[in-house]
Amino acid sequence: MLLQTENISHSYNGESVLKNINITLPFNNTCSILGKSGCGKTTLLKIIAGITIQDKGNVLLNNNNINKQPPSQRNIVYMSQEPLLFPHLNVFDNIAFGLRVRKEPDAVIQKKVVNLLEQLGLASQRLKMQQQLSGGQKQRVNFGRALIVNPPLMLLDEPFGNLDAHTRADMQLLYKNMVAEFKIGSLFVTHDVKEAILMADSIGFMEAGNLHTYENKQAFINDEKTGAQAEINFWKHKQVLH
Amino acid sequence: MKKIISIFAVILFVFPFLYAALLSVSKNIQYPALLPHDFSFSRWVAVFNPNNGIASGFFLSMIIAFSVASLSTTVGFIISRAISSHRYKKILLYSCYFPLALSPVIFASVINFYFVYAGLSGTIAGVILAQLFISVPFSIILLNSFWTTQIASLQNTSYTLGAGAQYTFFKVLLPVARPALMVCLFQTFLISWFEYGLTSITGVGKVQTLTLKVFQYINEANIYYAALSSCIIILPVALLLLWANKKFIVSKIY
Amino acid sequence: MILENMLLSNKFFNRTGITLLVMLVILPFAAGLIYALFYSIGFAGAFAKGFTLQHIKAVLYSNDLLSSFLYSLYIALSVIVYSLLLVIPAVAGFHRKINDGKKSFLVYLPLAVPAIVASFISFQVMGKTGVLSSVFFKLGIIKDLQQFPDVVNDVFATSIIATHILMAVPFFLIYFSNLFLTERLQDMSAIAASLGAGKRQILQKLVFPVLLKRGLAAILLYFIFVFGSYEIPLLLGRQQPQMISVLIVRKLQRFNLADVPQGYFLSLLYSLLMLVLLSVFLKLKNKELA
Repeated sequence: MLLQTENISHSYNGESVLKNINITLPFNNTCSILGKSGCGKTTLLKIIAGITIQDKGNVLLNNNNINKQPPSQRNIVYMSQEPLLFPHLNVFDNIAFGLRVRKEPDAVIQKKVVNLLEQLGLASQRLKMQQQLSGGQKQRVNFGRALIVNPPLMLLDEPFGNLDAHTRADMQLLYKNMVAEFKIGSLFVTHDVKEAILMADSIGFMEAGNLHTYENKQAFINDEKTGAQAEINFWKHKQVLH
Repeated sequence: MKKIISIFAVILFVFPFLYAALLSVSKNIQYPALLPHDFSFSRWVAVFNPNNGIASGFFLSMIIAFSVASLSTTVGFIISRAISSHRYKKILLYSCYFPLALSPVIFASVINFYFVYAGLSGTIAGVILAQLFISVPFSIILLNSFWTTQIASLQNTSYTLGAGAQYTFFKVLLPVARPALMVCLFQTFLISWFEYGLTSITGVGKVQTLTLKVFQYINEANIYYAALSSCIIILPVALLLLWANKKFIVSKIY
Repeated sequence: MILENMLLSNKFFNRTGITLLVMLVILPFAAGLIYALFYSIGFAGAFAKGFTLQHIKAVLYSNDLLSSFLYSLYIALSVIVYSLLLVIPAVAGFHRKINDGKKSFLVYLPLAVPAIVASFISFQVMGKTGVLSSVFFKLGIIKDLQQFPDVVNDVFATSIIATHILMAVPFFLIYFSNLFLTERLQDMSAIAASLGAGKRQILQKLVFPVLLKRGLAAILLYFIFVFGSYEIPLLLGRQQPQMISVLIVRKLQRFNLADVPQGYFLSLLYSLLMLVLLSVFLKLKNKELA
């Protein structure tokens, strides 16, 4: 297993936000976690990344307990909804950040970053600062900055939530291709049912700090509380009308 | 009409500089003359003599202002960070406004006893410390707005990308904070450079900064030297303003 | 292990910060007020003889207290009112120029003048033998320099107020022209005009109320600053009445030992008054943020 969590619980100011969360994620798999805002999704991702320390429970990466590892050594990249680029660095340097941290030689950095910029369709933007980029471009840079360190696991917190429908579809496709190519496992948090189904190999549904995981997509669709059925019916209905 | 008002305002704003400059090179102005009969640059030449009181005042003011600015910016950065993640954040931040609401000269008066007791009265170190008591709260309030949740997220991003605490501090935090730190440095420098009342109380006349020199010349009715030392106070600041073109000036403290 | 180290260093960072805050901000301020209190009730000072209310009574029954506070109040209020009357219409008319990079340098220029230099130049301009007097003489408005009105050291504090206004105007110009932009008053003025409001009405019913309301906290802070100002009244003021800072320093530096405890009690009263004003400021600021 790439990632396992065992009975993770966490509370803020006495209020329990996560209750005994258990996840298992095989290598190169993507698991969507669907849930409304405030259901504890972000806290879960931050705990796995090591930014927040859980009250109880274990995080296992490659079957090793990483509870005590600082975020900088976990090799897990967390991507937030807002593409927080380093404001003092340009596109190239933002993407190169992780390689510089690892003290890779300049020639290697140059080659790797240029290649990745090409793949992300950002080759002509390499010297731009973040205020010169569109929302979609920023998210691409954010994405590239995470991909370049080749993490086995990526955590995505509604990464496309702020993008318009068209850009969003582009990014979903790009994401699927890249994850397959780089052989990366990922947890993908979203509140969009369609996106959850589209992106993932398996799906979990989160509500008030509890996580329910489904054996397969069909089980997820059949469960009424996920809202998947309602969404499908809506689109069917729409087709009938047309 | 608009044009007339603009011209009038410009004259009003520029006049103090021109007038101080004029007086500093005047030989003698007799009432009701507006311009001097004769000009003399001898006073300006004399300034470059290191034994001249104005030159020593200039260097002393520089040393004090640089110390105060760099110390209070550093300390303010550390304290404002500690406050931003503290449980009693609001109360702690409010407490920083208290020293600023007092007239510096009165603040210096009520703490003067302790300075005398500690042997700091009349020393350069004492003046620097007393000035820190007003510039540090100022720095804290100014830098407090820097510590947003975004800054915390940026640091977290840096950690998850593999950077350690030290790398994150020097390669992410400091470069991102640079503009705010520059504003703070400049403004605390000005607080110290312009300070008169507090310095005169704590320094008991032994620490002769430039502002004290101006006051001394005014008291001696030596208007030409008062004008000269005024020019030397204003000049570096005006040049800095011209260079920075206002970017450091707008205080976020309000 | 390393994570623990990091947390430790964070903790260390925070502890250092709070310790420094206490040592450099809270402690000096508290210690100063306590000393002033102790001195005014006879607990501290070279000739203290134990608890007494004599100094407090002496201050409360003297004219100094009331006249000095009222005088400071009069000056601070005048400065604020006149500055705002000058600045707000100017902002409405000139906010483009004030916010324009190159030209705005002129507005920032006076900020390079410290109070002591400003008062010196005011004295040179407004004194009996000053620039204004010379100009009036040359124009034939006055025949003799004695005819020039006393505006320095006069009871109305004309030169003190004028100097403070000159220092306040650039500051308020910058502050309010920024507010003018963030409050989108340009667009709102256009809307008001399209609804039939004249220039004067726009100023009275829109620009003044909006800017005053949003700027109240900054205005109050500037009031506190003028109220406690020292250098300007020191050079341009008269013996009686005196602004509060000048009065306190004079009392504390007297050789007459009875004056010193009174000076400390005045400092205490002044500090408490400023704390009250400050809490109003913080409340306003809080509301602004909410």
